[in-house]
Amino acid sequence: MRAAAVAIDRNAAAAGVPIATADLEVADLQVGFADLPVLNGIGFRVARGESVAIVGPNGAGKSTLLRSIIRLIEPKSGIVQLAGQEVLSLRERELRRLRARIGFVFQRHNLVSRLSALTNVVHGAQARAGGPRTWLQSLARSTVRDEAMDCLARVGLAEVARRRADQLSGGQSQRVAIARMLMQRPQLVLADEPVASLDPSAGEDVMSLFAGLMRDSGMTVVFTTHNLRHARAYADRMIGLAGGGLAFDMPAGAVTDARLDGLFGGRDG
Amino acid sequence: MADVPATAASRAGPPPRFERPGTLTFVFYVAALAFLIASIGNVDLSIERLANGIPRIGDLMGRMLPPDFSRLQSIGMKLLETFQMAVVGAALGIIISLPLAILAARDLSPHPLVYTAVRGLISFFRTVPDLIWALIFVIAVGLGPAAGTLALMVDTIGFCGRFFAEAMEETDKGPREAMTALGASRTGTVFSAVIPQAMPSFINTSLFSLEKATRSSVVLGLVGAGGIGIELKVAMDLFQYRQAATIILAIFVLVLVVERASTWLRSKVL
Ligand SMILES: Nc1ncnc2c1ncn2[C@@H]1O[C@H](COP(=O)(O)OP(=O)(O)OP(=O)(O)O)[C@@H](O)[C@H]1O
Ligand SMILES: [Mg+2]
Repeated sequence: MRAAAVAIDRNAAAAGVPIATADLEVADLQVGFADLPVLNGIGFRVARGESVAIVGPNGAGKSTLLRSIIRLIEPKSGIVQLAGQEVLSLRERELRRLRARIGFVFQRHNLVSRLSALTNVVHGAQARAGGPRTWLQSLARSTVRDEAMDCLARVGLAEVARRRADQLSGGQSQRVAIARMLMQRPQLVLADEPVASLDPSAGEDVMSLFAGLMRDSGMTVVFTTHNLRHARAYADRMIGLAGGGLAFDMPAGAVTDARLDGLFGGRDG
Repeated sequence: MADVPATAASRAGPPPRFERPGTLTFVFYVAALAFLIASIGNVDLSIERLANGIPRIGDLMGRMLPPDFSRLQSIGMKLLETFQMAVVGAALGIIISLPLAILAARDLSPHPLVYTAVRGLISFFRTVPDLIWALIFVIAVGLGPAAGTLALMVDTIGFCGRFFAEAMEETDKGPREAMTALGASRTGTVFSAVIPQAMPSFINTSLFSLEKATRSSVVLGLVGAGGIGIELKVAMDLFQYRQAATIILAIFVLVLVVERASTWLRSKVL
């Protein structure tokens, strides 16, 4: 059944036909490191405007999956369609252009610590605006600086624009990273445990801010999390990942505790 | 001993104070010691020579005192020239080092072949001593400070090229990956996420290279590559020891001032 769907998708991709209304389409994706297979041919779709949570035990390959989608890790084989483009066959320059439109939020904020919050947000425009003028806020066009201030304001941090990134709290740093992602004007956002490095209270704040921003702008989101409450509260759909394959893929409301116990119990027990 | 569990070790008492060296290690120690002893013989360094030498140094000191300050002004001019050679040589070297270092940094270099080639060039610049570069540039561009400046530049590239590259390799990979993920080019990533992180190290290395260039600039005159070294040589050759003393004092002051200034700047900037 699944195999048949994959075959059809593959034909569609080969013919260059964009798959209708799906913002992200993954089919038969195989990823591994040296001789360690991590993902053994998984597939799923994410519709435009949908919010999807990926859950699974440590080492299940959640981060690997998100990274493979924009080829921070090169998949061995399969199909990844993003916004109607087949990602795995893109060449360097086209890949950069595609990445520019895909937001990625890391578990660690990954800000450039010696640069100001504002400069870090300006970096988000780098692929779009290009050139040396996006290296530092002081060189940036006023339209870019204004937009970066806007993005900082949307995460509630306009007042720390001048502060160096290494002088921000963990929660503030992650919010600046979200502002940098907004600066990309992304059409789809991937987030790898966006609040796992924060304390519980900051984690709640940042997660609800993040989910709210995504919902209000109708953005498509795929996020991984170990917080099942976040998955239930902020995702339309939940995908369970275990043993290199999909354990389930269903509406978030339909995922029972028993099913989650099964997903995580499989490793602990 | 490493295999013994902790509980057993505490019952058996502590391990021996010294591990017995392996055969190979032992052979190496013996060979190194033998080489050192043979070398002392070959360099002709004897107690007798040292005993005779010390009074002669005392004698020389006597003839150097008091220093002769009559030519202080021309020595001052020469000293300024020396320092200017150091500043220009170091500055040019630092500027050229930056692009070379990017090519010589693993995972920033565009191609492994470029990486290897540029690494090799930088090592070559570093391993050939500055006096030899000065000899080469004296032949190429003639006697005078231009030759010395070029020699200092090459020497600085050998030093800064390596340490700049290492500083960039050591920067946090996270921000780099974030730049890649948002579609930045290689150049964009280097200038946005690598150079800002490596900046303190760049400044530190650059100040060291200026100190190093200042010390080197003093002796380049000995081979005619400009600077105060030639004055010292002439004074010594003509047995004008009291003038030589002034020159040595002047060099001492220059090097000391540059080192102090560099230490102060470092503490300000970092
Ligand atoms: N760069 C790498 N090189 C080699 N193996 C890797 C690399 N990154 C991940 N792996 C391996 O791939 C597997 C999946 O790792 P991944 O980080 O994707 O899991 P995860 O589901 O994100 O786990 P966690 O919940 O701990 O974040 C693990 O076995 C891990 O050891
Ligand atoms: Mg992970």
